Amino acid sequence: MATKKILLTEDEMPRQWYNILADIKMNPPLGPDGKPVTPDALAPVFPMNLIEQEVSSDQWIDIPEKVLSIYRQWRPSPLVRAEALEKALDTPARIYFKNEGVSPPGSHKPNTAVPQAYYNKEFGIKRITTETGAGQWGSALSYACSQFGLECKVFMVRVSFDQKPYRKTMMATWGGKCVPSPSPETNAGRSVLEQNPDSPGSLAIAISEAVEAAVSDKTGQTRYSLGSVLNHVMLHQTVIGLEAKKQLAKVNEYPDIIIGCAGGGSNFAGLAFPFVLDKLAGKEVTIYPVEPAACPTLTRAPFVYDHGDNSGYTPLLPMYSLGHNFVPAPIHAGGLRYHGMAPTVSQLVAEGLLIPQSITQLDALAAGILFARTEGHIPAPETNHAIAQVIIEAKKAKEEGKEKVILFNWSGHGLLDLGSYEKYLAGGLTNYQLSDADLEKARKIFANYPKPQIIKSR
Amino acid sequence: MDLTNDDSCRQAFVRRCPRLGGAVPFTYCLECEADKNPCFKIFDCWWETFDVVGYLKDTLAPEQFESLAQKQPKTKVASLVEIINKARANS
Repeated sequence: MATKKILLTEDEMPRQWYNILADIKMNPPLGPDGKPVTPDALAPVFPMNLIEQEVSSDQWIDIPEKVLSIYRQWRPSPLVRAEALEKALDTPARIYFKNEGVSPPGSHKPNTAVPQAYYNKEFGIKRITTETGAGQWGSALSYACSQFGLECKVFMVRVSFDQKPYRKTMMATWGGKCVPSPSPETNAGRSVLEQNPDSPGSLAIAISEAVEAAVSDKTGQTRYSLGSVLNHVMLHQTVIGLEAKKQLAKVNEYPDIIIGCAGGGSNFAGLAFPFVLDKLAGKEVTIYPVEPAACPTLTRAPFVYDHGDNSGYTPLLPMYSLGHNFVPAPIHAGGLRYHGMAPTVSQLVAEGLLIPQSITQLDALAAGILFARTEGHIPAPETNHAIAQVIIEAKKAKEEGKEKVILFNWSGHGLLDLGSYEKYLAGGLTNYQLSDADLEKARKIFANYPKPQIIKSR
Repeated sequence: MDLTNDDSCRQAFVRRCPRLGGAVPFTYCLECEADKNPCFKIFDCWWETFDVVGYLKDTLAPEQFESLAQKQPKTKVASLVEIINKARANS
């Protein structure tokens, strides 16, 4: 019987994070004035020890012992051979995934929440604020703060606060204080509530509230925390890929293909960056960050549709694969529409070291269902994009008759996020074309929906 | 899906928001950014459901549509610094 889970002992856990900033050139981040941001500009929200990590060029950064001791609650995470999925796909490929769903909050997020809580505590901070949408990040930070005796204040977007009662309960169980945003606790929140007491909120409002709560604390003992995008977050997440390398070495494997879903980029970077180091040294490995399929746009060649953007980030989507009866109205491919991706990931894409892929909503859900019915675990909706790409690659391997090794990140479980599955299984998610009459009907329905209000500065 | 039914029509215009992680109606996406602007992901989230590009071209003011289509996003760090400065000015 082949080994299903490849495990590391706690002693084998990595003792250092890998810092990709040591090996790639990046333009410095610019502030709103167009000049490079200095560390002082971020000091009101981050402790200086994290700011140092944000700009560090040291290739390896020690993981503090206190962080390791908390990591041991669930790390090293298992590397799992997805044999049942392989069999269902009848593929010669060997598929492995890092199961990051085993952490207390159920995702990869605490890999950075824990060190962030640690570094804040070391700096003398007593309280951390953050924003959260559906609560994945808020849960992770609440958990991490509970491990270090820190207070945690989470501003949760109101529309999500009302929809996700169990996420609030998770946060509260860990001692986190979660309030719906907009809230009466900040100027930013009060300003919105004055105009619309029923505002459903937005991430923009919640971030403003969380930052204001940190910045306005006169004791100087409150800071803010982010769960993705920033360099220090990517750094902390590399524990995933560093463990995966050791685990694969135990079974004499090295991946041909590495796949991770990419929203802000942290779970993808965590798995991929340690392998990017090898790729920079000449190793042959294909690395795919995978996103939801972006809207097609017109390129300079009028009859060719692609996902154009300034750095060629998004991949080509041939017309026949759109699966629709209508042709989307063309828009100019002038801007990068989906910002929010980590600058390091974007840089590596621009250099051709990563090849972005995209997956439609339906394909992602179908992949998640197949995974759940073969490997057992129900993935988070984001993770399904990675799984869909894994399936594509496994099918290619079958066509080519090649025993490729595919590694992907199973970034989290979907047990608190089953709404999309429910809709899909009820047949509520289909590709269809709306008639003009349907659209007109929908416009009338829209008219009665609550609308978020703008923030106005006092 | 039977879109002659009001509930079905309403449900067709609700989807999981990848930024929030929960279900939101299309009307939320239309105005959830500052100054009542649409979410920067609105094209990408809705193009598989209906001709959102055509709808927004019809509905938004031309400069608002062009701004949305052409938008060069701020980096996270730049956005954060802006929010910090605004919060300090207000508190």
